Amino acid sequence: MANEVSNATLVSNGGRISKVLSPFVHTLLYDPVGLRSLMTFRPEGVMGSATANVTKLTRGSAAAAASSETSGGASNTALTTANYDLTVARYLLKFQATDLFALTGGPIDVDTIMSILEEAVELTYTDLLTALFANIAGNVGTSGARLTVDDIFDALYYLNMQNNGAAAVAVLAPRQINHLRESLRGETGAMQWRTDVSGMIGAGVGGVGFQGRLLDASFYQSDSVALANANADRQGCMFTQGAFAYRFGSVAGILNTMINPADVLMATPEMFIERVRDGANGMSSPYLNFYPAVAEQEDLRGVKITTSASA
Amino acid sequence: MSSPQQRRSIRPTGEKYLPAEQVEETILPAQYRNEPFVFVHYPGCWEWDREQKRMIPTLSAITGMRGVNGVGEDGKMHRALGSSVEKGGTHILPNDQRLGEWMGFITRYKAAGDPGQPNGWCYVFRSAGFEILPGGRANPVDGSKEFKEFRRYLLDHGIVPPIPVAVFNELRANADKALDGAIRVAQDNPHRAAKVDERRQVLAEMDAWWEREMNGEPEPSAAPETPAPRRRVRASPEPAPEVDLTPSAV
Repeated sequence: MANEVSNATLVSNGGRISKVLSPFVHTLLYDPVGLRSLMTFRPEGVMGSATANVTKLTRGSAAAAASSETSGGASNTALTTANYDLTVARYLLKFQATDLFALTGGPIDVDTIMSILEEAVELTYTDLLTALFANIAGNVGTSGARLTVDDIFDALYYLNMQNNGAAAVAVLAPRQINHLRESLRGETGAMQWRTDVSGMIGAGVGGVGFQGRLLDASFYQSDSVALANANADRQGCMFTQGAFAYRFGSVAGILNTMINPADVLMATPEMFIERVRDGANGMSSPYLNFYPAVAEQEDLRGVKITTSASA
Repeated sequence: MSSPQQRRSIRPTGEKYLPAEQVEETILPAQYRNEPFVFVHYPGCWEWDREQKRMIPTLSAITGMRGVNGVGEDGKMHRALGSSVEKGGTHILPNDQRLGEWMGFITRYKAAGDPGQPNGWCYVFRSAGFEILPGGRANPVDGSKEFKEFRRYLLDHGIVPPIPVAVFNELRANADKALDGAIRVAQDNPHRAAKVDERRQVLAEMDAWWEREMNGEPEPSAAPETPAPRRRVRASPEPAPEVDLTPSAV
């Protein structure tokens, strides 16, 4: 036998090619969660500085009883204020693609790069938010010990002691969420009958981002929650609205005066993607630029949850 | 499964401790990349250490990350440090001469950048390490034992003030509450009865320690005043952090 028309022969002689790129792309696992909405937006316009100074006001003065019906007068009441800073800094992300990359096309193309750049804004805000947790003074949990429901109660009690309102939010590391679910499985008494407990145990396991509500608090998972205590622990945080704030530098001034509009691939008030061309080498670089700032607005609105990073 | 020999560890050992001398080609995944930091102790932040059987201060951290808490493009941390002073914080700077053996307590490892980003660093307390498994996965190595010694040193050398009475009372009340909780849980879960004994012992140890503290008595098994020499002494943090850590910046 000879001269069979086989795939192998054709591959050898150019009638077939060994592989064809599938039009489908499998995206590897990552944590795409943006947690910016958990911060308070401070849109104040700032001129002449990268730093916006935000005033904090102490309210809540009850009246004092008069010391006498006819004398004694009254003492002045001080108006107590403080402040914090929101200083913007440049964050950027750049890709450099060749003309041949665009010309050959395929499932990964220029649009893919653009979507990665756009997504980077939210991922950066998540990193910035979680970077604030380590400086919160209040702390619950035990270093080296797994997170339990007791720690969640302790965090809620702490926030309650500081006059926080309801609707707390907790941002925890995946390991901490696992430990919490493990603890919930062993709860007895009133806790075991609550629907939010069964919901927290059953729903969202393996998912990223929002994990459920428990005891009127919303739980989020983020792999940006940092290690602490020389890698022994993860340090999440429970907080109420107003604990953290953010602003961004408006890029309108840059777009109007510094950049050729034809080079702007995408722009919003807070970010822009600019194309820089290297004609000599046949390459184009889309640059993402934006200027975020985050800060701890009020320490007593948050409490760290420090528990074991180990299984 | 990989054998221990196959694993590449970048846990600092011996003379390889200094990051500048880190000859491993290993690099941590991007998720570990961070910025230099300064420790800060707040008056209410203490915990019971079961190994040392005493209260030790817990430390918060102020990051030098640009755009966070007033840290600007230049990386200077004076605004962030200033706001922590308002909260009653005591800063522990790596270049504080009083730290002695512990000076330059921060080390750093190479960490990959996000896609499209240059590589960066992972800054950690010097006893913290990472083990890289084949395939590039990094496992953090717990360095908390030495970190606790460091925190005890801070207390013993007056770098952080002693625990306020009210804070101890609150922590003691929490331990008491934890004992109650353990008893409640053990009633329905007999297999968790051991937790009750553990909590009860912690409470007894806390009371005994406080009694000694109040009476100025020495501890039964006093730990050495300075940590055992296990690392070479460095005159200053190396490499120098890229932020302004001088006390004058506060």
